[in-house]
Amino acid sequence: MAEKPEDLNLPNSVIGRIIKEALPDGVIISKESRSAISKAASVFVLYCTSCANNFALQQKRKTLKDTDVIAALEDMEFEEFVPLLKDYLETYKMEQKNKKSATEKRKKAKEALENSLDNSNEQESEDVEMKEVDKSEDEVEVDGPCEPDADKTDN
Amino acid sequence: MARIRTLIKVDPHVTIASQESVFLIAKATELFVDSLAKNMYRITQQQKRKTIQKKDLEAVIEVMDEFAFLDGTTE
Repeated sequence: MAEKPEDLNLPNSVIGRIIKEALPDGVIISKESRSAISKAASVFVLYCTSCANNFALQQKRKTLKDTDVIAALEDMEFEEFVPLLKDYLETYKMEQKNKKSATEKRKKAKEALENSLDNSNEQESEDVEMKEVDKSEDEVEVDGPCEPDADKTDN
Repeated sequence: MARIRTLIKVDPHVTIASQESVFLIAKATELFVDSLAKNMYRITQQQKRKTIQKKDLEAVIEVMDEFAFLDGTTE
């Protein structure tokens, strides 16, 4: 893994978009300034991380937490960012929670299906029918949660 | 977010960073870039220019306390 200096820069497309949205239409920014801003952003990340980590270490923690970042920003005199960031964080946490419960639902549905298949294995049924059930089970996995009773056609 | 994670790992004192802290740093950096660009533009306007130049960044670093940590990074 070669770590070129460019890899430590944030994506130019993202930086460019933020700069464009920050400024009124028609304002020109030199290439040099653009890359200077990009570099400044990287320095900001390093500085913020370092400050936040100090807060974590003060509390004898090894894991950097969201509260450490907030404390760091206040320390760095960027407290005006804090209210907006707290909002973003709440939204982010909710999205993560929803993603998690969607994955868990799918897992449970899969388990329920496998259980019902095990039950039908104990009875003697035709091989062909079994194969069909297996096939549709695969499809069901890809598509996501479904009704476990859908494939109980063997009786 | 991946590049933010790469940058965070550069710090030898950091062991682990929670997902939320990485997210916050990423978002804070966006706000930072926005603020920096706007402040630079204020200088540009004061000097009645139409193009934002690197020296405007240097002026912001000199004049505004919160950007003082960038001193020396523009070379």
